[in-house]
Amino acid sequence: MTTVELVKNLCELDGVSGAEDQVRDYIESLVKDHCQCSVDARGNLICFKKGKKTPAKKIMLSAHMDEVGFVVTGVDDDGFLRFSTVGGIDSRVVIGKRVRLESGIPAIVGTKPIHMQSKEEQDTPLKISDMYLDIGAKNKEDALKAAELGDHACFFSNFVEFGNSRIKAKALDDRAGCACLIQLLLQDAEYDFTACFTVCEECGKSGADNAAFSVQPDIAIVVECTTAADVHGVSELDQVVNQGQGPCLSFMDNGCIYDRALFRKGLAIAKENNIPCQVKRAVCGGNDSSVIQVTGAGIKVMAVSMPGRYIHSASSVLKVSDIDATTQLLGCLVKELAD
Amino acid sequence: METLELLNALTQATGVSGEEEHVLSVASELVKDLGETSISTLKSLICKVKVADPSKPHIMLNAHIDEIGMIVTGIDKNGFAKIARVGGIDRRMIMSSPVIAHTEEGDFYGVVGSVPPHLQKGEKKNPTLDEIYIDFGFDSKEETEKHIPLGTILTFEGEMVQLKNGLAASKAMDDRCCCVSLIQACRLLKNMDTDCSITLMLSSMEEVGGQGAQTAAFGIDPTHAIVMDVTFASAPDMSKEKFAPIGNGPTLSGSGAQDSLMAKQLIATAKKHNIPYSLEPTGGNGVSGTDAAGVVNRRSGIRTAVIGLPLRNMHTPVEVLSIADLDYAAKLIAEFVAEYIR
Repeated sequence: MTTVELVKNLCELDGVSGAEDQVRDYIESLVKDHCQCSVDARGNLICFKKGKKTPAKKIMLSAHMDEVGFVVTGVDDDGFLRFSTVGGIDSRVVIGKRVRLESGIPAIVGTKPIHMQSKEEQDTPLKISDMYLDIGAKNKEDALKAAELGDHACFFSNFVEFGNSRIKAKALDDRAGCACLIQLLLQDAEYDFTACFTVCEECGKSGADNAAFSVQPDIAIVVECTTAADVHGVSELDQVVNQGQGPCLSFMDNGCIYDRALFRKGLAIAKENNIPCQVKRAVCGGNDSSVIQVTGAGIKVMAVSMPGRYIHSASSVLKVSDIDATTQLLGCLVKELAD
Repeated sequence: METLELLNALTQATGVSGEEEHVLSVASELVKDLGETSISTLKSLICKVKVADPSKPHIMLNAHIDEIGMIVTGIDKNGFAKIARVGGIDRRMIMSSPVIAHTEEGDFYGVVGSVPPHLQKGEKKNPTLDEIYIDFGFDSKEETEKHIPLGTILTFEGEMVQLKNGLAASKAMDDRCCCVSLIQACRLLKNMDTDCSITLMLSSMEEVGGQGAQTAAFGIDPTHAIVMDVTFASAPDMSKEKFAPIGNGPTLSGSGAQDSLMAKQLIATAKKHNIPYSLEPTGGNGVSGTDAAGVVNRRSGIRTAVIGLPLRNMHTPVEVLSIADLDYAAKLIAEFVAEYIR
């Protein structure tokens, strides 16, 4: 399977935080003959890969399976569904979009026509609490046959290859990270490592620290997608990371300060192996590193992130070469950080 | 062809105002068995469904075939495209929308970009037209320019999705759904006993001023016209007191510049044949917000009635309607023509 095919298959599955089952089952089916798999109480999929040698330092890689989405919170008398977001979603990327309910039923997010909006309404983003899902129900009773309170919904988005080797899909954050880990598990390994596919990164209590507690690694590498601001109207200094320049390594974000030595070593390893790699040029965002870092007696953490545009929307965009460079770099890190 | 198939074929065709060629070719193929077809100077489709003696009444059935979209006005140094809107694009819902650029080389996919959240200062606002850009996934100005010349037309990606209870969502329901109703009305009329001339006219450029309909109406020179366009349906943020529901048939009204007798006859027809409808008094200054405004005062005046088709989320890629309403409208129009225009 090519990288693009693998990422496509992963993105087309629905897995809002807390409901990652489809994603986990698919990943397990791919890797189960290549490693020892177990699923913990939280639903994390933990995969131990036996290599030719056992490293001096135990390494854990993690990528989260969940995606941002929606949850049905109410139904009105006319059969329109009210909803909340699961995870951080800008309300402006929700209106006028398609979603798929947990039951598989399609829905759209309705909006008052532009003709009827006041100037203020045109300027001010609509709140999620003022939006509704339209499934075509006749009334409340009819709607409740298709959706129950608490049902999840995901963005519906066609997976598309476009432009210069780019892909557009929902849930690239972090199914692309899952794809990198899957590819490593399918290859022969020089050293043992553990790959964790984690739950609930986007919302509430992440499952990653529970996985880390079980695995007890010396080093944890979190594989993620981070916001690339290399877009129109943003000055070079504010662009944070650039697509096409490989994964980025973080020195610090809103969640934690990364292990300084690992950060520097990671950059050196990328350079030695001629793998494109960049430094994340801002202190923003956060990922599972913050909870893994303080697990047990403490774990040294490192983040390797792919530059993603418009993440947390139905149209997130990655460059394929960045995914391949990430897998390649992770392979080198597992090998070279082992001793 | 079934109503749903026709609707899918027409909504998925491309035809932004001023560049309606693709949808015109699709529509021409769909109506070629109905009568002789031609394309007017400003690119409206004209189909002579029945040609009677010139002394007899002549009714023109009109809906517009163009759709809203965008046009590429510039490419920045990194290959991102700036756009202007063609028709009333809603900037509230534009962020992260997938779009398709239609070029001579073929179609190119793009995404409406936005300023990343962490770079936004102060309170969040919906993007202004100046802030909107398209990411075609190319890495340089040269690369984008090679594939996306200035003036390229963009449409929103908006494939049809069927909802519960015979409802459907798609781009360009406005006003391809009315084109479908009129095509189905003409199919019915083809086998009905009538004595008048019937011309189907699917007009260009309604979304940018109605230039297509007014000039085609002049050329066709009918005695009567029915102009069909979408109308605002009730929804959680559109009150039931003011707006008609979807699924309850077309909307009829007898006010404004519309012909009051035709309006009464349409209502009588609906009652006689048990066709559901909602009343939608327009009031105001009598100038319809549809192609009727440009049709009613062509030449020495054309007796004109407006029929509305209720639509939710107008001017978005998820315009929602009830398929049954299209069939109700088709039946109403056919029965009306056969009884009152003859």
